[in-house]
This record gives sequence, structure tokens and C-alpha cells, in this order.
Amino acid sequence: MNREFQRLAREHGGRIYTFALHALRSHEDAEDVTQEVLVRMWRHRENVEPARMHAWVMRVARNLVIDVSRRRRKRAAIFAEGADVEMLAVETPAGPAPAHSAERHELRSALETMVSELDEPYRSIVIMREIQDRSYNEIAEAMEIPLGTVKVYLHRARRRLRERVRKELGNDLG
Amino acid sequence: MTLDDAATCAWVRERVEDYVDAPDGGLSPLERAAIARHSAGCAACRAEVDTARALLQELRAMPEYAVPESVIATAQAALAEPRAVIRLLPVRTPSRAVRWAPAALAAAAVVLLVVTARWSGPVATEPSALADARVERATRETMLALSYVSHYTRMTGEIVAAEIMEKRVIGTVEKAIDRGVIDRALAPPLRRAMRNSDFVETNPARERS
Repeated sequence: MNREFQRLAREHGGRIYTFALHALRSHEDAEDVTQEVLVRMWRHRENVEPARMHAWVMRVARNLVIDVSRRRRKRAAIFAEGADVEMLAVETPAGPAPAHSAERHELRSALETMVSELDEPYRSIVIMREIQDRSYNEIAEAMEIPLGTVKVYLHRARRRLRERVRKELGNDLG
Repeated sequence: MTLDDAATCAWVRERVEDYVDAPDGGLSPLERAAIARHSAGCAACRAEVDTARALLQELRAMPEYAVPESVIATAQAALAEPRAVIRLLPVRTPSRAVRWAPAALAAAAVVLLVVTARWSGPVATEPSALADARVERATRETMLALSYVSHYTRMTGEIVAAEIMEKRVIGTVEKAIDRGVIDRALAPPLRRAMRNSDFVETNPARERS
């Protein structure tokens, strides 16, 4: 089981983790989601066609991300007296050429927050399409919505982001 | 700005995202030319186009991550554990009994609170030291009850999901506070106790690791 599980985990894990991290902006939550998806993937692997496994894991990941977001909102309402949700700054991974200035880093961070604060389904679509470069077909399958709907949602999501960027960052970005 | 200008600006802004999306964003050459012509002479629309273009570039440059090895290891460890939860329970109990057990425990916690809270009369009439002692005791009792709930969650693993726990436990307690069944003076320590209790965010797989 070990080797096969690790192969599958490496094949799908990065995609799940990236999606969850951009959506939730918390390493801990992203790790929890990824771990849970990997466990479910292994348990259900025989019931899912290999060709559809990518879409299946993304669907499960998205559902879990939505659950975490919902729980955060509930907790925020219940424990309104104090800070309950820690939105951690996601560190940019050490890359070969970190040429970003501090200002640029701040802009990137602000943008990442805006993405994570988009409503569903816009958040998932922006992450899958723009950050993870998934095809419209893959997104449609993962989200169980028609292809045309993916395009409409993506258009709205980009527009919402642009309007928020213009409002909060002015000309800093473009 | 004339009405025509305003209409053109609106038309352009409706298509900004498509315009900056490579290769043609679904726009016809005619539409693209019209947007280019308009934004060359309209600073506001040009700013929108620039923002949309920069936004898209930034989004597409955002990092993708590798899955941490620790996550793979923890998931593997979770899978190696037998799904003992269900087997530990009598075969006929899982569905209804297990689902409602947390609610029963939460109800017990509430009853405990009510009994403790009502035992010595309303807080307002008590000397503050006595009221403090009562709040402290109720909090302690609640923590104890909640620790049972937490333990039960761990035992039952995936059957009692955090979602159920939240709806039935936190929900029950919150309703009791709203309706005045639990003295409002007890609400802050009780909420703190719930917040600090790991049942709120139980992740069975993680706990097993």
C-alpha cells in the first residue's frame, strides 16, 4: 500500500494543497483538508475511474474547503467577542529568484486575501483556472456545473476582483 | 462626457476581462479594435484595462505548492489505523444512537449548567465572590461535560463530524443562552470553554496521527 499510496498522494496532493491554501490562507487548514482528501481518495480509489480521479479529488477538496469556510463563519458568529479565525499570511515559498520588493509582496498578499475572500463558486473557479491553470472542462467536471456556467462565473469573478482591486489598491497594481 | 461616451465606457468595461485574456478572449477582431481605440482616448477605461491585465498576470504568477511530506505521512498513518470506531460499537448503534449521542451529552451539559446556575439564585443578588465561585464551578462542570463530548468524538471518528458537533452542541448551548435557560452571566466563560475545547475542530485523522 505504501508505495502506491505515496505515488497517488504526490500526484494529487500538490494540487489539493495549493487549492486549499489559496482558498483558506492557513497552512494548518490546508494540511488538514489535503490529508482528509488523500485518505478518502485511497479508500474510494476503486470506485473512481482513473481518468476522473483528478476531478474527483478536486470536488472532495472543494467540498471540504467550503465546510472549513462555513465553520469559520459560524465560529466567527458564535465567538464574536474575540478573534477566532487566524488568517495567516501565506509565505511565498523560497524560490530561486525572490526579486519581489516588500511593496510587491504586500500587493501579492493583498491580492491573495481578495481571492480567498471571494464568494463561492467564484473563489474556486479563480483558483482552479487562473492559479492552477486547469482547463474549463476539468473545472466543470470538478464542480459539476456546465462548461458555459464555468465561463460565466469566471467572468464575474475576474470582474469582482478587478473592481475590488480598483477600490482598495487604486492604480497600485496596474 | 456625453451619453454616447458613457454608453461606450460601459460597453468597454463589460468586456475588459475578455479583452485582456489571451489569445482573443472570445472577442471578435472588430470588438478588440473598438476597445483599443476607445481606451486609447479614455483614461478611465485605460486604467480599467491596465488593472485587469495586471490582475491576470499576478493571479497567473501565484505559486503552486508541493504537498508537504508530513501530510502524506499523516494520511498514511491514518489509513494504517483500523477504522476501529465503528467496530468498537455494537453493530446496531452507529446511525441514530451515535449521531444523537453528542446532542444528549450537550443536553446533559446544559442541564448541569442550569442546575448549577439555579442552585443558589440569581447572580445579581449574590455577593460577587459567591457569584464568581458559582460561575467558576459551572465552567468547570461544563468543561468536564465537554471533555466527554470531545472524547466521544474521538472514539467515533468520522461518524460524528465536526459539523454535527457544532450544530448540536454549540447550537444547543447557544439556544439555551438565548432563551435564558442558561444564565447570561455564564455565557462568556461557557463560550470560552467551547472555544478552547478541541471538539469544535475535531479532525479524526489528525488526532489519530
